Amino acid sequence: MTMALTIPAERTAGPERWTLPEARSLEAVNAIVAAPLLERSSWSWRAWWIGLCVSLAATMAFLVTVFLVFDRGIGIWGVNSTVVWGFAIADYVWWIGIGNAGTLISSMLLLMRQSWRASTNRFAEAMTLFAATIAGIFPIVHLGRPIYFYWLTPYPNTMHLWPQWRSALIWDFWAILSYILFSILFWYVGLIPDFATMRDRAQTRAPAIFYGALALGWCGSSRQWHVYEKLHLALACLGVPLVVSLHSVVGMDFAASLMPGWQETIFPPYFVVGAMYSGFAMVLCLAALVRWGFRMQGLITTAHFDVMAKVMLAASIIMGLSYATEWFNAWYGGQHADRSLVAFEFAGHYAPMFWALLLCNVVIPQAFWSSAIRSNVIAVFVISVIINIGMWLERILIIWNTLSHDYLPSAWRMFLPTVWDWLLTFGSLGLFALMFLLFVRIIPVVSMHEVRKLVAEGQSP
Amino acid sequence: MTQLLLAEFTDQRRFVEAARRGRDAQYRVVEVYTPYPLEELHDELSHRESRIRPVMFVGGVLTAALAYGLEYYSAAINYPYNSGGRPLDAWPAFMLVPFATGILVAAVCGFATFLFEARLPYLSNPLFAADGYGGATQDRFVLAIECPQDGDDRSAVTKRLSDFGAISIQQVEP
Amino acid sequence: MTARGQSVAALAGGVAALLGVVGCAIVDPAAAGTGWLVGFVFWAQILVGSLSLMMIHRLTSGGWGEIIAPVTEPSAAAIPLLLLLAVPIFVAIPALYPWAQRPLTVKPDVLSLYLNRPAFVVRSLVALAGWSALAFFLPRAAGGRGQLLAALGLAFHAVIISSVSIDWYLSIEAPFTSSSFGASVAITSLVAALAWATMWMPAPDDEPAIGDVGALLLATILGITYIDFMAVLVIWYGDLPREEAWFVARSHLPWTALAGAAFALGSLIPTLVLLQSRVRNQRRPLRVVGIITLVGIAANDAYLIAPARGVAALPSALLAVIGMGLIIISVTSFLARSGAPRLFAWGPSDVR
Repeated sequence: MTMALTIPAERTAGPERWTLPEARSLEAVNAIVAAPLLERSSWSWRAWWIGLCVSLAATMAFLVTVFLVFDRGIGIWGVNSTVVWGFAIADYVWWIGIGNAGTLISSMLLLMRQSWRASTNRFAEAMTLFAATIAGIFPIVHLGRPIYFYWLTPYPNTMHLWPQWRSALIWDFWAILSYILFSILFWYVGLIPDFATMRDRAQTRAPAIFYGALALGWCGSSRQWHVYEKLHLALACLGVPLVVSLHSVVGMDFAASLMPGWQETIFPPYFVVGAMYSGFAMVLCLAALVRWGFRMQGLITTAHFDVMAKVMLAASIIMGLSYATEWFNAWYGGQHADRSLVAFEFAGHYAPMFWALLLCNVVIPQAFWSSAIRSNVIAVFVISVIINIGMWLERILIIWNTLSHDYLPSAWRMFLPTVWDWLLTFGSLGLFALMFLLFVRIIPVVSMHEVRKLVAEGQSP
Repeated sequence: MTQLLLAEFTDQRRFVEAARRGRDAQYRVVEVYTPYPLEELHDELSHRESRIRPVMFVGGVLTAALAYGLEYYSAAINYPYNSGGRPLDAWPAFMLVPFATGILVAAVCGFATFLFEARLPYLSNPLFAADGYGGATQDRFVLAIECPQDGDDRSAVTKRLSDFGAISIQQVEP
Repeated sequence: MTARGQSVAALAGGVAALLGVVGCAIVDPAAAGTGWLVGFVFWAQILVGSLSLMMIHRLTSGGWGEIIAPVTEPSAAAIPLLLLLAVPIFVAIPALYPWAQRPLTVKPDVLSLYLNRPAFVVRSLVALAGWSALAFFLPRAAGGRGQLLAALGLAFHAVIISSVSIDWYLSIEAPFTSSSFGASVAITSLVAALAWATMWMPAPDDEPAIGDVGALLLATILGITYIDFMAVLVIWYGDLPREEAWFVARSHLPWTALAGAAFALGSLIPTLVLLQSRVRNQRRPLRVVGIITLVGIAANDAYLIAPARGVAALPSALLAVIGMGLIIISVTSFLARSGAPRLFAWGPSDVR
């Protein structure tokens, strides 16, 4: 099931648009991608080592915080008896949002026959995997009694207890678990032909054995390619509904409640769009870094930035419209709690952050109407970072505003973050950077066989 | 078993032609090895139709049914528990777990079928030892041909392959 | 019968059906007005959805847009007709919408600023005039200007459909509201327009883009199923009295049957059938799916609107849907004669 949706025919003539001349032969593609991994002596890894040290330090901060939470309890955070959710849940929602873009880029764009995805999908899928894994840590850290997290699974037990299937938190557990395992599978399947390329390019024995084992003996026969394509397309067809259901469940974590501002029917689809938005922004940041770090200007071109910036422009408009819909519905529905909450958002304790969020998510991305900005890599990178900050603000404010301002005025409390909140948040960025850096050192960062196919389409008449 | 001839090409168009014209040129193409999928050759080689999708469908649907059955058994039969006056078999709330697990198991079934049909893992494929093979995962197109027993036929086939543009032709044990 | 004769006959039949609705109005004006509203929103979805598809295609291109263009362009060009069809609704507002009586259940500031007759009429006129203008200018704008117009037009569409979907559908039971409803109507209109296009598109049987149209129809049907299921799940989960009331009013016959029909015809059957590539890639089976889907959408529109006025609204809803459809088809085929592609004539002989 495929459909040609997005690129006009005269522009799809892929290679001319999506690669530079120096990357337009099969061997050039292989060389650009594989050389950093196989010809180490000719490559400088200095920036990589610096990044690794910084991310190791941040990861240590993350681990120390998690250890402290397990040791002392969640009281070391800024959560209180009213604002019972804090940074851990916001970080969870933020990371899981980032964790959806890889699957979206791979699946949805594959179904829409967008050949340009070939040079971005590999690291986008890696990003998905790492972000979803980190996201999966937060709810457990947040549990309060994390030693009982396995009670979420139905297993034979002497207490004769079952999970509460009607709870959105149980859906969450299953959705994340399914998604992470699915993402690993999807990623690995796409990697098999590239591992075979690495195996056959390796000059020394150790990498040949390492990549050879991962390639499972892939030989590129027409039979293998045929079943590979069948499987990859079928997984893509499943990936889209899975990713949509996962983020809807995250939305249901909030919407399946009675809280003002949360009990909204728009929440599930709005979380999906928000996740796509922040995920694309993170993919663009990583694309700019990978392009610079691996000198891949020939494979990741300004045309990639241009088209993804257009997607983000559309998403920013939908996000703005979703915010406006919530405000309008609160007013139109006439419930006092809802109206009072919207007033609190605009003028209450967290108002400066709220205005900053609107600036980051809705106003600044309008710069993407300009094609000059869309094809300026530095500008796109900066705006993508801003969008990611804005999306994090959105996630924390969804929690803070509603919990700080629910039905009972006597229960109104504010959230004051502690140093452990911040260390947990920035530490998780370090853990992500660490995993990503290890990934680019070991695994081909661009899908060689898909770019080869893209390049070959330009050569055959 | 008969021996194979491996003919290596650099040009995709000439390679496809050599693979297609095999019947006229009196050699039998056993398999082709390419650095990216060439769907147009798949039909020529008369492989069996893949069963990946039916297997995934059955695996996914059975898992979803099993997951719903588990929810139903635990919430309506084994441990009925009134939660906010909702029905014991609260179907709207029971949809998401079968959905997610169904998709996961469908994917796993697809992967298993893929391994089976692609005959993987096969780490000791003798092909890898052949000189002319390694390029097939990089930038070369390799044609595997049933090697004629007769020496004259063999040289005729070799000649034809060279005419088609093969840059090297190797004889290997399968 | 000639194409012209068919058009005249359709026009006459359509006018007769609408006169039937007017006749019902003598007996029960509220029920007849509700029926008229059902017909109006059903056809508005098809025509406005056609315009959205044109705008999306401008930005994305692809063969699917080219093969449905002979249907979507005349359909979008018929949007001004909705201005005429909306007049009886504007007239019937006091009988049709309870908020016109300024009930105590709706906040006074909402009544004075939003839910009142002049504001309702202005919003509807802005929406219909804006869509009409887009349908007029879009085919005449080429290249980058056309793309910019399509992008701005989609932004306008997204804003205005959020507002008129609440006006036309939900405000009949104000203050009930659902924040995903605008998105639901916007996607339903895409489904309706695609289904409509599969019925009429004059593509040859071996046209490869037919499969893309089928896949798009499947994707949008899955999208609308998802959005509406999530809305039901959130409201079911919250179980708040002010929201449950809307469902309680629909919890008995014939509304439960109508909901079942809407789900089966508008979602379940098309999904199961479209999952098979044989159906997706062929014009004739796809046309059958299109017809089934449209019947499901009509049932859904009746389910959303009619329960506010009871069963009596259903006969006039049926008359209105048929009557407006015949009028729209005949008018577009008249329009088509003056240069634009013909919509009303289809069949094997017309395959280009």
